[in-house]
Amino acid sequence: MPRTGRYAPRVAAASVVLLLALLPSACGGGAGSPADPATTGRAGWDEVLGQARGQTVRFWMFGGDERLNAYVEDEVEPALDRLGVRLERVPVSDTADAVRRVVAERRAGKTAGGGVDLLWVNGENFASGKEVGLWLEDWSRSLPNSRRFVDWNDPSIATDFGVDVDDQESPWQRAAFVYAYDRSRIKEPPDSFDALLAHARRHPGRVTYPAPPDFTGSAFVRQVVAEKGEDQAFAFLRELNPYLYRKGEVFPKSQAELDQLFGDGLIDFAMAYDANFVDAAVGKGLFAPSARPFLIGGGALTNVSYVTIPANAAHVAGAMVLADLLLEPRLQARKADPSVLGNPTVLEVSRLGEQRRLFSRTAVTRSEYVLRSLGSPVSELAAADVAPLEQRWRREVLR
Amino acid sequence: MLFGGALAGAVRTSVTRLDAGGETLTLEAWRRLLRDPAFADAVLFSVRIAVLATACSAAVALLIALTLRRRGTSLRALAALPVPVPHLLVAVVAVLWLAPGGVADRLLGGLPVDVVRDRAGIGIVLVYVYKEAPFLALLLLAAMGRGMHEREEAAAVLGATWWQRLRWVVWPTVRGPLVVGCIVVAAFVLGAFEVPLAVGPNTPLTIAEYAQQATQDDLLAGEGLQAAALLVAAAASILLAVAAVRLAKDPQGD
Repeated sequence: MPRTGRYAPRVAAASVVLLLALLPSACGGGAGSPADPATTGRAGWDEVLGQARGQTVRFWMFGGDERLNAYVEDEVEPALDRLGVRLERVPVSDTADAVRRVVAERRAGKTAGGGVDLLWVNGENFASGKEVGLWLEDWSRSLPNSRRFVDWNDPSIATDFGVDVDDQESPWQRAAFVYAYDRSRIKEPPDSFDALLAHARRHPGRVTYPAPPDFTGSAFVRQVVAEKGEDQAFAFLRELNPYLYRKGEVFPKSQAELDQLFGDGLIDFAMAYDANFVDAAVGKGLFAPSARPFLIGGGALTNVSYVTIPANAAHVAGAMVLADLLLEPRLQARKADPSVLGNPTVLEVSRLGEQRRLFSRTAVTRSEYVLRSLGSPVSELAAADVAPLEQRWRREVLR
Repeated sequence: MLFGGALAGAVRTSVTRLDAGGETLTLEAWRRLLRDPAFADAVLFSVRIAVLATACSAAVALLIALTLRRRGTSLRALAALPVPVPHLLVAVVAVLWLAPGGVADRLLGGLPVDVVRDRAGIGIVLVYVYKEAPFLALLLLAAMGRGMHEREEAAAVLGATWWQRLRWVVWPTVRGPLVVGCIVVAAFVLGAFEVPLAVGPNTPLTIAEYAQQATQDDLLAGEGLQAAALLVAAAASILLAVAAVRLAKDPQGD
């Protein structure tokens, strides 16, 4: 139940974090070892659950993915309801909007009772907030599902775009950068960036990508940089430019615009930081049924995204319960199912025991619109390198 | 009070940086802004669009007003239809119709000029002319209704030609409202965001787009840059508003 008074929420947050901080010692298990909730840390977590009961958690998240919105409403919300916690999804067009809200509250001196309880975040947004102490500390590794099923020794989980997670965010989903082609028009899609350049030369105006700092366009540039090194990558992008759609003078401003161009048959390839995006787009009738996913390079660019709790959140206990729920094997398996979302899980499947079956059912339902292998995953660049790359792209490629 | 508070907040954001210990006073955002060639491009582009859109809207509005001044209210209402339509809706419809792959492209097999994402900003200007010309025409028609017809007839009786009536009767009547309306339109276009975002080019950006992109690049340092850029646009709009108020007090230019 929300409390009133200037200091009450801060005291509540501190007590919840204290309870959670005590959990690992009570469990006798460290971050790397799975613990049995039946025998360990139950009392402390029960207190968190008790505090959370009756709270309404405002979960700020990107609202542009209809399937993800449906997943949160159809799967997460009822499960949270059963724990006595209400979910209020606050859709934003850009995660930075949510971070801006937290920054504005910080500037206004609002140290408790903030408007954001939990937000979906990663990369630069997390790094910026961490730099100035926006996020709640010492909570994510102690969540029961995190201790049991998350491998915090995995660097792809423990670091977010090269920034140490530091117990300030809890993993939620993996994303892979995947391309699409239409097999009725293209027999063999390019398997390397050099092959992409060759294709663009043979078919001028049939290739493009969204202009950074758009999320998708920025990821494309980062993958080229990860594959070729920065200077070589920019030489490649400059060489590619005259063969792009509208001679590289005009770029789509968003992935939606790119999808539209691909769906209309005006370009040969689409791309998205979503392993399941072809399935979703075909389902919506945006792409032709002959569209298929493919990878460029040795493997997909991958990242993990997280949920984090602002230090001034009004409903810390509710936010923690929700963060823990998002790591439930059943909900993660539903998320991994291509018919729902098709996001690879952040859980360490070898720790799941009997519940591993949930994920084997997911594998059976895989469709031709989802790649069976994402190759050797390509790690994301450091968060601090992203903005300079986008600025360099504007200076050297766009002008 | 609301406007003053927002301005004060923007000034504060532009001269402070948030860090772990709180806010630090710094002029770094202003230094970065004034040294950034992309900002200079944004100012030039915004001014060019504002001047072009305002001049074209004024010319079209004059034509509409002169054509409709002796017509009935139904025609006037028809001409005023675009006024309540949101700018963003017009911009989105323009993209659907005029962008490559859009309706016009499919029907006609291509357009002779690119008006969506064109670097000259023609698409932005066209959207604003569609929206603002009827708004200005309404101002002019309201001014023309106040005895202008009688004055024109008197001038005709005294032997004034069509051109002389236009120059000595019509123009002095509409000049004041037209100038004031144009200043309002220019101030609006100078700070507008949604139309350039929907139909404008990737580069150059308008001042408002530049400000929006500043925080995409760097959320914290970008905040100061964003506030500084928007203060420049706000200052220009305030100057234009002051000019409009002065001219509104003296519509006949006496």
